[in-house]
Amino acid sequence: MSDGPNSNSRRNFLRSSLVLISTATLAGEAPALLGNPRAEETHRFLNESERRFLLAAVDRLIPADERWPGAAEAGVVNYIDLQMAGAWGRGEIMYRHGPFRKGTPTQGYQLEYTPAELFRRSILAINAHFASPAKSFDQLPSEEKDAYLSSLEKGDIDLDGVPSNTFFDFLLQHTVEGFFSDPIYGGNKNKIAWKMIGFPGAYADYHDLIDKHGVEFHREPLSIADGPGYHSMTSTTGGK
Amino acid sequence: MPQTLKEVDVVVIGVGFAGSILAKELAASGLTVVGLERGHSRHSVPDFQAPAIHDELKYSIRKGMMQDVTREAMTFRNHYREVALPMRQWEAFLPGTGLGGCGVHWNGQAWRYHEEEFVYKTHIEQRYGKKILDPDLRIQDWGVTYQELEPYYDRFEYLLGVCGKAGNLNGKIEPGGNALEAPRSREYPNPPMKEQYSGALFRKAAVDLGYHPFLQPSANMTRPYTNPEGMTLNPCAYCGFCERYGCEHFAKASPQTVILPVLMKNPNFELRTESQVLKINLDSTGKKATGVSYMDAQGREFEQPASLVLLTAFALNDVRMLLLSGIGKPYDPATETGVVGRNYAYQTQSYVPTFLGEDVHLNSYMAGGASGTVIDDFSVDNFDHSALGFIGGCYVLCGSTNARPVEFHPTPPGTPRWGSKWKDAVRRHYNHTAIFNLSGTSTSMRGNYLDLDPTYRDAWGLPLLRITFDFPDNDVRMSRFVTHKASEIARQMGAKVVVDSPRTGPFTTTSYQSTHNTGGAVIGADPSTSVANRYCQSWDVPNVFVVGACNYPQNSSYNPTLTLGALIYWTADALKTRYLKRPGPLV
Amino acid sequence: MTKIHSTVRVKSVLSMAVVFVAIIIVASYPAAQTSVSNKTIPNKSISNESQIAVRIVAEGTTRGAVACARCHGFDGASDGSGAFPRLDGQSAQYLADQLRRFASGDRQNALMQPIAKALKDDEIGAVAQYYANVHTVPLPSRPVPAQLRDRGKQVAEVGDLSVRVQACESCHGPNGEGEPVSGVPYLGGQYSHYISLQIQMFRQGYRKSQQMIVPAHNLSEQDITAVAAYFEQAPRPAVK
Repeated sequence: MSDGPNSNSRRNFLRSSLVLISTATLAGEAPALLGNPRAEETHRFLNESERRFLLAAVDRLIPADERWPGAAEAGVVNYIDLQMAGAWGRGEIMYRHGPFRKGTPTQGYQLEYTPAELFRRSILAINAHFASPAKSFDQLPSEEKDAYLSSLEKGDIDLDGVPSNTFFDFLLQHTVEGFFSDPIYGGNKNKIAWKMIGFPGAYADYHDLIDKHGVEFHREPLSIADGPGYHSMTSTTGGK
Repeated sequence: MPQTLKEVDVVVIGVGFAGSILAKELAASGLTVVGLERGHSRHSVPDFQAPAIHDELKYSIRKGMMQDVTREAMTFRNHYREVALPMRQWEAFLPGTGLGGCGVHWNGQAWRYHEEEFVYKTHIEQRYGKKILDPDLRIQDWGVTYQELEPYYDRFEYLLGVCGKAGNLNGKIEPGGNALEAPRSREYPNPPMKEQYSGALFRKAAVDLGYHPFLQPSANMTRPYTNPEGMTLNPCAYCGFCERYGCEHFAKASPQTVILPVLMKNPNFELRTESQVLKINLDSTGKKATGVSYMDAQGREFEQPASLVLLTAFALNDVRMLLLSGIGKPYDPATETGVVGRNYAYQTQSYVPTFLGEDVHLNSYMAGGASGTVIDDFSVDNFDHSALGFIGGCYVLCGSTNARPVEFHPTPPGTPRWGSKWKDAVRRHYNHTAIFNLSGTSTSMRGNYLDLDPTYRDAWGLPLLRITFDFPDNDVRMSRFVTHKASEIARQMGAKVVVDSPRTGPFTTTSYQSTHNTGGAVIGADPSTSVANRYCQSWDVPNVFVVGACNYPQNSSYNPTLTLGALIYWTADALKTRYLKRPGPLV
Repeated sequence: MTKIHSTVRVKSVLSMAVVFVAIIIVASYPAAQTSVSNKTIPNKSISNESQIAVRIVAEGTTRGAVACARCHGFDGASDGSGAFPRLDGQSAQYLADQLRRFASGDRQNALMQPIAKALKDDEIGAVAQYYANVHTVPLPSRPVPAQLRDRGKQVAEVGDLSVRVQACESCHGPNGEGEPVSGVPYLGGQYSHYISLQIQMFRQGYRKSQQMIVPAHNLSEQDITAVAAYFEQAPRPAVK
């Protein structure tokens, strides 16, 4: 099905001579290489206590390990900050007319809060649960953080009108988005998440490779920002 | 005070595949045609160019090409005893908007339906007897046959340049194609797509188990192709950004790549974008349309008079427009009277996640929108249901359309939802997991229907469409059976872990399944159970034609677009050769 | 678009021109590297395969393959005229694929065919790898008029709707850096005359590529000159 008459030998060449293109991508990138997560912070929406909570929370949702950084190092909190400051956070990609009523699980999100309001209200309530700033969520040992997040996840806690599982699902969803989306949105710093799984990114012509079954394809992932035509800094609008 | 514009021959509501083709056919016949598109104009260059188009957050997660939910949502409930609430975000299905409509961001999966599907009620009752049907099911014949539509399927396939291998050429079974397909009069315009690794593994396992795999037909090109309209398309790059995205390579068959430039050159045609049609206007008899009312982006209202109105705004919007305009009697499930909104159906999707182990490098991000390997052995009525106690079936497909990481990061059962074990599982399974996609029939049911919501309104103050839907138990039983069969194929592939995941109720709007919403304005031979006759002409208002998947009395296993294409050309033919010569009811 | 009868004439004139120019260059190329003004970074290690490659590049083979360096130089930069492409740092997959296509006649070139035919398959792999690993500091590119460069950049990064051509970089990568593993050649830093000539080759059918046929056909003469000029001066990626 390939163009040239020598497609078989091409396939053999590829198999025999080229498996890895970059050993660095396989070995992992030590978390320290991404720098201090507190450096290069964006400050469009989140206040200090919100940011402190989120850094600690996303760090448990997608932790760092010896080989690969986690959500905190990857800039996921910046992602959340920018998203909440933009159209998505403001509720401009949701139908927001009332009346607001509690629905069945199959009817999805029905609260009157925009995503930004949901985050703000929930985190305020969470921070209020802890006795004092000296004992805030971020200062708990890891196991206790995980236990608290699990109870949020189960819906055991009322967050000032927000069912905690609704907030938790939002938080987890945004963490995964921030980790895996294009770095132009503030997360996935240095495309670390893409390197971890082997996703090549925004340049994607596989016409000649798709039928080279089983070949190990390793390429430094490319972001939209790697295109010479891309001029903006991190994007706040989340797409709209 | 709305401004009344100069009268034209034809108004087309919604400029997607149906609107573009019908407009082109009628403008070429010498009629003046206005196309009203509520969305924006957009083109392959610059709007679909890479790398900017390969933005998963913008297009997949924030639904960049979809209907503006803030202005025009829909409400939903599973049962008519419940209160419907707005779908405040699109998730389960994604209605499109903009020039080219869903034709811009579809996957290009191009299937014909089976012959018996067009006479489904007759066929099922003859083969199995009425007793096989649960009492609430409402299957119907279409009023038009496959044989009548075959030349129009052919025409649409050649317009798009569909890539595949014929399995049944005029009754003769051909090797390499789908031996179970309905007979076709000629070969596909282009050869099949390249096969993915996961598809190749599936193929071998399927053959081992006695099934008949083939490469699914694709409207993304396998070679440069010039269609009968003179439009040239490029080969697909298998970029893995097909559904939800425009194509940078002019490789996906979309209105922009196959017909719009031809239409735009005709001075008989005028395109108006950002034009929100509010209703189709009727005269005092209520049996004749005088044109449409619409609002432009500045909020100015216009009346566009026309002799003929073509409603081609996507299935769900078509039904809503009929209801808003008072065309046809709205369906009431309690009394089973009325027709508009009746026989709403969907697609019964299920999956079999198949974990193959870290030495199998699938590279699933290398994918066309329609490059999967598939078996048809369990679709529709291709197998004997006598002892099974349900009707319908699924095609079983293995092959990715993408591996975009926000959407695709499978983990085996037992993996926590988050934390270091989750992260490790994602890393270990990302490039080594195939997900079978089973696309199943959706059988119409008495209680599944569309009407207007009594409470929630759009940005123009008009009632939202209300969807009342749940999976019939028949379809749940069907899904369990076929998904189990598919899992056997997965095990045959040597998978380490196979997750048999049939579709179960209730239907939820919170996770994506399919945008194959069908019915609500069905065609048929009987006005008491259909909205339009076999030419897609409204029984009630003969100068209104509605052409979309809303015409389908029930949904097939297969993706609806190619069948819609056949109906489009069939209707175009009826308009040109019969209606225009003598306007009035064609049946 | 040229009419059919004059296309036939152009085809034969063009192929004669290629051979003619090639003969002149071969005849005038000095045996030693005295004219090389580029700095060649030597290979870090000399493996067995590299030794074979260096010998072929310098001396040719006993089966009659002419030494690559006679036209392409040891540094892969050739003579800068554009009659011969830059090979330095080119995708090994691509180079090997092209040698096989020369050998089979799938890519028509009277000069390269006998050379490629004389090479054994492992020799093809070796010389392809040799040039892939050569990293040459390029001469400053010729000045390009701003209007031509801007037009080239537009087509390279965005495409042209009026002739239905997509952005070159959607396949050829940011700044035309290529995709080494799948074998998409780099254009960034390639000689503009060579790029223009190759687009003509695709157009006339001397080179076959499903993906290049339509763009090569659709681009106007001016736009071919523009993209070629743009890519010649596009920045090359840093050596990894």
